Amino acid sequence: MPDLTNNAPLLDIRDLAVQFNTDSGVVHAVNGLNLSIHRGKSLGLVGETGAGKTTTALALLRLIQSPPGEIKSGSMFFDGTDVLKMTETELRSMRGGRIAMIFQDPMTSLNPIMTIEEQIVEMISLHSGLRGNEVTTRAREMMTLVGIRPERGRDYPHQFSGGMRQRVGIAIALACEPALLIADEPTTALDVTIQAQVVDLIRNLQKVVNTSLLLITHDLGIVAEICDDVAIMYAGRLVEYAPLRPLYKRPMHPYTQGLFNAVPSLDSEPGGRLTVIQGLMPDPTDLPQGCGFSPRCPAAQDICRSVACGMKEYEPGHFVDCYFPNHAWEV
Amino acid sequence: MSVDLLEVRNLKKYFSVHGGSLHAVDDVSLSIPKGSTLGLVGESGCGKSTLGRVVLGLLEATSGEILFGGENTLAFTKDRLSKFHQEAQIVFQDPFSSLNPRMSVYQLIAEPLLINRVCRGAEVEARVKKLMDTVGLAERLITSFPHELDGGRRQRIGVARALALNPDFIVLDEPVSALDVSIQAQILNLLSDLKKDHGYTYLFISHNLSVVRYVSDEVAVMYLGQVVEKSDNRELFKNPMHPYTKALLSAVPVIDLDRPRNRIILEGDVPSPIDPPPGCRFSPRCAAKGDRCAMESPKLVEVGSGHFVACHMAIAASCYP
Repeated sequence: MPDLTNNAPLLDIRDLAVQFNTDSGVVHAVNGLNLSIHRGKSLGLVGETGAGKTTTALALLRLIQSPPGEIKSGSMFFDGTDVLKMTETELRSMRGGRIAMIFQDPMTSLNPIMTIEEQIVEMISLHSGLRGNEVTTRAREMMTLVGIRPERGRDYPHQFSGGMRQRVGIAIALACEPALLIADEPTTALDVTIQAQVVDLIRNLQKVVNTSLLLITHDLGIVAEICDDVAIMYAGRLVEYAPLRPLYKRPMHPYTQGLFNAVPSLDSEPGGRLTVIQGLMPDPTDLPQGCGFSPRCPAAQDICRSVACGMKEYEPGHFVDCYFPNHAWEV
Repeated sequence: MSVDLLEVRNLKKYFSVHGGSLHAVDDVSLSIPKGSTLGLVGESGCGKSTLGRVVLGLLEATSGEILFGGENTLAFTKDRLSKFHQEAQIVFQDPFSSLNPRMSVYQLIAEPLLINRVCRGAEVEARVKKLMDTVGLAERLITSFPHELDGGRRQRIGVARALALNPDFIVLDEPVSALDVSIQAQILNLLSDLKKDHGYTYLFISHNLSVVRYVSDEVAVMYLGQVVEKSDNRELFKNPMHPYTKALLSAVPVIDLDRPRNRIILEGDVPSPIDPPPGCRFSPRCAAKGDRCAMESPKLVEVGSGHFVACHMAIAASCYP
């Protein structure tokens, strides 16, 4: 039954700033990020290498190594509790329990000297009230759910292919029915046909287990397959945030438009030219004044180089961090 | 008809491994006309990189023929071979590990020139600067080291090294897979400009169908060491015939939300290439397989003008003379 508290977002990140103090200066990885996810919904967090996507996820789990890392400011409310105020014990029970994570590389994220059943069992005994045979039963259920024959539970990770290992990762993550699942580039290391299997699996299980999903990726195609909402991240901030269809049909931020233009498509004319975004990501130790994208932006004016615009709701539910969003542009 | 710069006939490359013989490339025949690009697509382990390396002579072929400009490269003398190694070059996937971290941009690009004694003294520096200009590297970076540069610039160094000896033929082995989308677009544009200006012939190896669609004239699809389909670029994407090609195309995530999707999700994984069983290698995962498929390996047969497919079912259904 839906109740009133369900209207509050499951995850609400406000003004998050994360920095790393290194020899070559202070790396501003995340700068004033706002993000929320509602129950049962899936959000795609899209950005290129160094945009701060993974740092955001690690900050949420309070896994930023300190030093050199530091959560400089902001608040992160998960299911009404401030993650920044949690004790180490509370954090440990949250990690893997209420918030689970699927990692990019299924080759290195599993323990090579434990059988996969042991690894699933470990997670269940840590985070659920189940004991004894119930745990094993649950582990076998999870294996069946992700499409691994339970008798393979006695095998070790090296005996599985990449796609199968990622299924093990998914089984471990979903075993305790987390409220939020963070998937960090879950399909990047996989081949296209295997990627399709895994995408299908995540999408179906998200509905079955009714978990919220934060999908971190650089692949706009995967987001189109799974997510309800999309957030585009650039240089540590969100630049655009909207439900899937409006954002894909009418991206407004010049960076988002550049990203869409740069992706070769199956329908593109062979031998044509791709539109490129000129220049490079700014150096995170020396971010530009004002809007982070202004040095590369074709539409930048003087104001962009002095003060960033901040998120504005240009259309209902469609937020853009830009003074001059391009309404005329369509995919 | 244009002349084929490269022709590969019944090429095989087997590795002997623990437990048998690994059929990395198994009876592949291909040709690339001068000045055109052949896109070679397939998933990891299908033998596409091995094929690229065997063609260049970086790996020894088990059997078969490789004709470069009509000459059999496998019969080359030592002198002819070293000339061939100037004519045929490679750009590697990972610009993070394929460059020597202790060498500057100048040293990296000058290395092939010096090794092959192409030029000396001040001429080397002039050539390096010209190459940097060709691939779009600013001259001020000449003293930089790879770790100071981003992936896109590093890959430009890789391209400059390949171009240094004025090759005719370049194997591009996943040249943009390690790069971000916006950088990937820059490198793809660079490669296509270079081809236009200099008439290079490319073998473009990639697992990314959208990228292959964009750069290739012809496309060959590999599965477990064999070419299962090859055709003109447009024709292959419009009218894929092999069930594997169809599944591969349908699995590509696309950003156009209104593009009709008819996804075929393949069951299972690619089987082991160690002593593969007789019959069609795709048949264990194929939804359309018939009785014949498990018994007899299909040959690559022309089923439309320039469209070849190795599938009993597709061949039987075609009415091409």
